Amino acid sequence: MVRWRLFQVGLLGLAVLVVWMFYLNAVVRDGFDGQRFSIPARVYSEAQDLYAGAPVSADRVEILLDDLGYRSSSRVNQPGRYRRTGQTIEVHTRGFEFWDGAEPARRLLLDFSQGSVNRVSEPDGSAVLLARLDPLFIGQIYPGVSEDRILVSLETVPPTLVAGLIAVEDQHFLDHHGISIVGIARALWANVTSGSIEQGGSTLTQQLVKNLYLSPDQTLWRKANEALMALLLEAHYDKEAILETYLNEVYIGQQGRRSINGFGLGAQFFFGSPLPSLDIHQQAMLVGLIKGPSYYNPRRNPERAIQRRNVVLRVWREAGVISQADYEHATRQPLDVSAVPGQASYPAFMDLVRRQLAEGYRKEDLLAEGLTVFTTLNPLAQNSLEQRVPAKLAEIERQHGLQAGDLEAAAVVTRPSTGDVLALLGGRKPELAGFNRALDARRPVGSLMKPAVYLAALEQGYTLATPISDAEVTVTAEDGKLWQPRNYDKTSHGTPLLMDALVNSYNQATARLGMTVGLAEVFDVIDRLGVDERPPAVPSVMLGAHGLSPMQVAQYFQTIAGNGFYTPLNAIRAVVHPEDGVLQRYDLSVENRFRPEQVFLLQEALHEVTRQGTARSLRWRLPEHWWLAGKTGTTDDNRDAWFAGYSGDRQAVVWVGRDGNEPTPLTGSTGALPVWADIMQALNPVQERRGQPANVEWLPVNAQGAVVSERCDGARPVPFIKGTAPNGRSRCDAGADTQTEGEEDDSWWQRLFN
Amino acid sequence: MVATPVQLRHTQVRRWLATPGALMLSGLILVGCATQSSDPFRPDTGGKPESPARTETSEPAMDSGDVVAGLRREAWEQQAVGEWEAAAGLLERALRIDASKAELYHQIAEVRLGQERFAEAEQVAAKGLSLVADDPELEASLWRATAQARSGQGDMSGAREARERACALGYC
Repeated sequence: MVRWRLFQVGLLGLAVLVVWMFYLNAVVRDGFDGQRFSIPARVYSEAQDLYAGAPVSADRVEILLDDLGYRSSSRVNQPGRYRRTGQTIEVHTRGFEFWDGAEPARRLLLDFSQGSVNRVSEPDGSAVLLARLDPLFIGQIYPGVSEDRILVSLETVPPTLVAGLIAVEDQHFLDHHGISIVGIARALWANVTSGSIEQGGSTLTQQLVKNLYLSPDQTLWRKANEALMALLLEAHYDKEAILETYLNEVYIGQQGRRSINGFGLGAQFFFGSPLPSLDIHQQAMLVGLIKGPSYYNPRRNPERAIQRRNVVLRVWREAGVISQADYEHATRQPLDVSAVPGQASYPAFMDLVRRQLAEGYRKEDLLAEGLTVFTTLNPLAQNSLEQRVPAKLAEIERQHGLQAGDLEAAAVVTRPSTGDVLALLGGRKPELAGFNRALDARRPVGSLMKPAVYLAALEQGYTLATPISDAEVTVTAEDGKLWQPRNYDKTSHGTPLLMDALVNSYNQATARLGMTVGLAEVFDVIDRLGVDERPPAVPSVMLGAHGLSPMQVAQYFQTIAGNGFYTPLNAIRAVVHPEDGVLQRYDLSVENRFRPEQVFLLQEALHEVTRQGTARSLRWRLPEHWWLAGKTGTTDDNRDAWFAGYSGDRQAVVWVGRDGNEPTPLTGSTGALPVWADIMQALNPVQERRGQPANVEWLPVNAQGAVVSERCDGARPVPFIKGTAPNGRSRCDAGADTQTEGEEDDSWWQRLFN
Repeated sequence: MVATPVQLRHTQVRRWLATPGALMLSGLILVGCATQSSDPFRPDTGGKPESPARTETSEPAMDSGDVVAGLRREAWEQQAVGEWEAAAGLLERALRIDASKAELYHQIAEVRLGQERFAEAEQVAAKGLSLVADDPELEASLWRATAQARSGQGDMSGAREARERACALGYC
């Protein structure tokens, strides 16, 4: 009877085990196939268009050619070569298979003059209307993997590294079936005697299973699963496949939140070189790191690291992986670690691309082999950003007596017409991955929020010339708290015109205006401008007491620069499948959210900010004839300095502050604006004002906001939506409400506008 | 491109040039500028000297008009054979070269109409209308595209209204 019971329990246990094995089997196959058989997507930048009139100088084209790996050569006789002679570049382009067609390789003669392409022609002298260079390869993306990797195949890994890895981590790897009985027994014994589960005894297969599928906690249950899965893995896949995956998966370092997985990335991260070119001592260091990536970190703990490396080298010599001579030579070498972690070229931008792919794609689609991703990255804009921002920050630190390295920054450059993200800077050390401030730092935006208040007012029938009160103001919020915003200069400015209150960034006038217009209306405008979250419904948000990332600010400002049309910011132009062609294209998307003529008025006010207001230093920082529009932002105790603005078809948003949110001596005008100006100067955008809506008229207005004769002292032209300006002309000193009857005035000025 | 160094030094003048009817008078204004040393309606910049590197305007001898026109022609050829995606790609490439051309928005709107993406066609046409200044014929074309886009969405009264806007401009 008892025996029967035992048999039943045993049978049940077996059944449960079988079901469990089936489950684990599915997990193992899914995970492993997903990891192993995906070929990374190749990611490319935007390509440089070449045409007569292209606003790019010979110097910049030469920089770009160098970045693309073109060789300067006296004979331009094969693709990938160029010759610069003064203002002429002769180039043999490489040609490229773009998502929208093939660009042939061809010889081109580029003539430059005054910073632009003057003429593009073939060797026989015939003009070429339009050509493009090949795009810059900016990295690889591994589907389903959020970190970056540099995948290596087993054949390209140095044989010493492979043999050395086996010798150090799992001598019987080539013989066992996934687990080592001896190893487990030894580990068990050690655990029993020490009372805790610390000993490894893991085979390479088990380590891989642990990395791929399991949580890092050390429980017996996890250990049992690990062993079962290791057996299953060995049953399904051969040793080469397992070893290759291990090489690409193993965890050997950490940088901020970014984990360094795989020897391919590790080689670049620690030595700045590709894996196949590492010397013996460098290979040994990588293998040594497996035991304790942090403890043996060669940058932080060089002493320990070199000891560990030499232990590995000794094991290698004993196992016959290297000769005695190799051993002696290698142990005499220094660590050879590069000063700066080698990186993918544009980690912040790649981060954005990865996130956009993760949003827009099902994982299965991304698992397709060998996708090509065409992005919006403009290498010249990105390089300008990476050079100008750190240089300017250092200068600002010197000017304000700050310690070098005190300030951090983030920046986003976009193309308003299409929403393309052209360049992205996640911090002042652009080569470092890690905290991407452009996307993830949420900082109060200060006065950058004001344009939303003024746009709401324009929608409610205010004009730019409406006088508004700048008297002190106290607002009782819904929660009973008092809100008493004060002007930056601690004084009230009477009744400025609406546009002047924005131009000078008056807090009191803005708070009053917002409360009069209505909090709900202001928040509705903020929402329509494209802020993708609901700020708390409190009045202080109108003055920017709400944190947004630089990217969110760029999206918000984009709607203003885009004439009131919302266009989602976008880092990807097209994704191409090697057989099926274009999988997805991000085409032009515009959505009207504001009346363009109202946005036009706001743009003009923001232009005045750069002429007379808080950003007036732009008049000497940049060529005075450039048409610019923008807004400064400063938060309490100068913790954050912002500038957002645009010219022509280029917009840039800059944040400057400190990671720890400490105060700085900087305002938007002194901290962020100089950086912005440097960026814009490098971008050299088309500086013309774009056309204006047909129903806008310009009328001369006096200081009180009354429409007067243009001959009056202090009269200045202000744009109005037709039919909204006060009727008739007033005397020169009239107030906004006192209109005199249609004073006849037939000057050329009036004829121009009526 | 109407910009010359003389005009560019006067923001005011450039702004006037953008107003309806101003083009005809631009010659007159230039004469005025030549005789007037400063802008009468705007506090003067104080004659702050520009840094030498910045005084020259970088106006290329040839502008991007040719290449935009070429891309538009190519797009037309694609539209004629119903290759809408290809046409859209060419027009967007042109847009990245010169975003201020309302004609491009008009043509993209036509592509969207061809694709029967009517709501998008209407939005693109609207964006074009926000850029068109002083070109009643183009403005009317954009309104006609708007009318078609609205019809396509079943908005008959909206379509009629758009058509009337086109007629009011003298291009029925």
